[in-house]
Amino acid sequence: MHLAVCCKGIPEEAGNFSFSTDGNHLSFDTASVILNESDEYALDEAIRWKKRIGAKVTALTLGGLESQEILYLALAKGADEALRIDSSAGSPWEVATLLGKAVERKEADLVLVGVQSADHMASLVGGLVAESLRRPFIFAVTSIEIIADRGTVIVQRELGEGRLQRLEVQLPSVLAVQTGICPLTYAPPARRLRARQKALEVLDPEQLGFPAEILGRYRKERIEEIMAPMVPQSAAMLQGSPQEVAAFIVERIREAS
Amino acid sequence: MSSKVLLYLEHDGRKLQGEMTRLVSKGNEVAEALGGFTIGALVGDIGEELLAEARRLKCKEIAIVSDPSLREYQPELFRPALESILDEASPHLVLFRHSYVSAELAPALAYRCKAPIVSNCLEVEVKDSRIEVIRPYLRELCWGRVSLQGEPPYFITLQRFAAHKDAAANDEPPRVKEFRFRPPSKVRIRSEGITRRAESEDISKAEKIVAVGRGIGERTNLKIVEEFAEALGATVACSRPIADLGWLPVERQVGISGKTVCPKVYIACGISGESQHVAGMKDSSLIIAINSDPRARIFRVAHYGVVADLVSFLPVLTAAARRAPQPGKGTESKKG
Repeated sequence: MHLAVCCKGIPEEAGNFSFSTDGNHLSFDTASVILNESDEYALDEAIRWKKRIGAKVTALTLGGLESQEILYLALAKGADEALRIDSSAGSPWEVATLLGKAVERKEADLVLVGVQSADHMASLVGGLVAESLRRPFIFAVTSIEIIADRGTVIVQRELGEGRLQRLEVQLPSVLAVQTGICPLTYAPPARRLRARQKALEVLDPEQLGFPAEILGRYRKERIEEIMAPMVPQSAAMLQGSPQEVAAFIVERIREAS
Repeated sequence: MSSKVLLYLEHDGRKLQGEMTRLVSKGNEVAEALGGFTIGALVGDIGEELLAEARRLKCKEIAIVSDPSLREYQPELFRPALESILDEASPHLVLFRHSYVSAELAPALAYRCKAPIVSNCLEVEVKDSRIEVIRPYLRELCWGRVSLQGEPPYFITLQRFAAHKDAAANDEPPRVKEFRFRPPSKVRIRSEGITRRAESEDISKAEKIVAVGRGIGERTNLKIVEEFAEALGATVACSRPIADLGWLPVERQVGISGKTVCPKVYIACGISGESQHVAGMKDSSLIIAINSDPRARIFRVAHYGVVADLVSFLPVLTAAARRAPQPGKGTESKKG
């Protein structure tokens, strides 16, 4: 059983940082890259299955050198192999096209992705990867039971408004994992240091069969402008000593209830 | 050029999802700008009631694929059903509500059409017959104006609080077209049933809610939130990360994946205010937000905001609540 987990490095939200765009990418003026939250749950869930049934786990990411940190973390957490696609592709269509090729090459039985990246917020890559491989895809999975001898996986997934659905899905398939599927593990610094000694595989889009001029055809959106959210801050911000503010709030609550 | 707008009418088997009226309004607005009209796509085991509800929407046409095998949502069956409508209608634009269901159907169809897709959008506009959307990035700290490139159809999922004026569309009942369901030759997904989450306490009935988010920091700090709720006679609820961490049971979670609440008073403590959460509480009568980050998105929906550290501020608030006379004390549901 081979599990591949798509892990995205996202900019760490620290202090005041600025955004810019060249039309194809969104750039954040920030120093460090962290593992996207729902992808971390997907990774930890995969590693749980490694421990339970001896599955092999490959962590995949797409990005520049800085996103390699994500893969070292994945290795420290217990992933067996790590692959970085060296590309600056930003749109879900391009990203999914490249990841789909990498998954195909790795011959993974089960692909896990997180439900959403905190930076692009699209929730599209998993579904596009699945369709590019013509595999079944389930979104917002909250539990996974791999039945290796039947070649299936039994999942529970959210449908919204508190509705849950149980499904049996044939492998190979792609699942978008919801946050909270399992407890997150902690990788101690010593293990993270050791992980840096391991070799990472790096492939560029050409090696996956997508030279720039071909990959460009998969770019189907253009970011024309980045702006501050046009939502007026509706809240009246309360100033004063904590005691004054507290008294004011308690009075408003009393009036409203 | 086709200028039809296809709208996916999402339902739970019995009723249409609440946002469908707004989705249709938006669809009519865009269709008007394109010089076309709207088609509502209804897929499932469609009964009289659901059909009647769909007919009341202001779509020009309703396209139906109804089959007993579509009684329960299953992406591998719903996708080809919707695809048969798509093939026949060849729309310029396909609009979905941004949901757990559209997260499966929309990318699958877009991929098959090799078509542009943008999701989680707040606005759709037609500019010189080009389609542009506004959508959030980086935990909604910024928005982007995005144009769709390439040939239609264009696939767009709209986030739920993109509300719009009702288009002055026709009052004629829509034409209804039925399509035969052609099941896929190979079915690899089998639904074993849809259930509702079991609950020991229903937070949606509470009149006052003190909700806690990740800003609380440590699990041990939950105690100060509970003390505050108790002083107020309020129920404790939480945002998704707190339920994910197992600090509070999932039945206390407010948001799209949890409960929708509408209490008289909602106090958000250390909640950043991502749309996922806001969708579940924005209609509360009085919203007070306490957060250490002055940029927190929760201040966009709150009536009153306090920038403060919860661990130092909440005990002050608790003390003030204890001193205040409380009407209706003893009738409020207590935290559990």
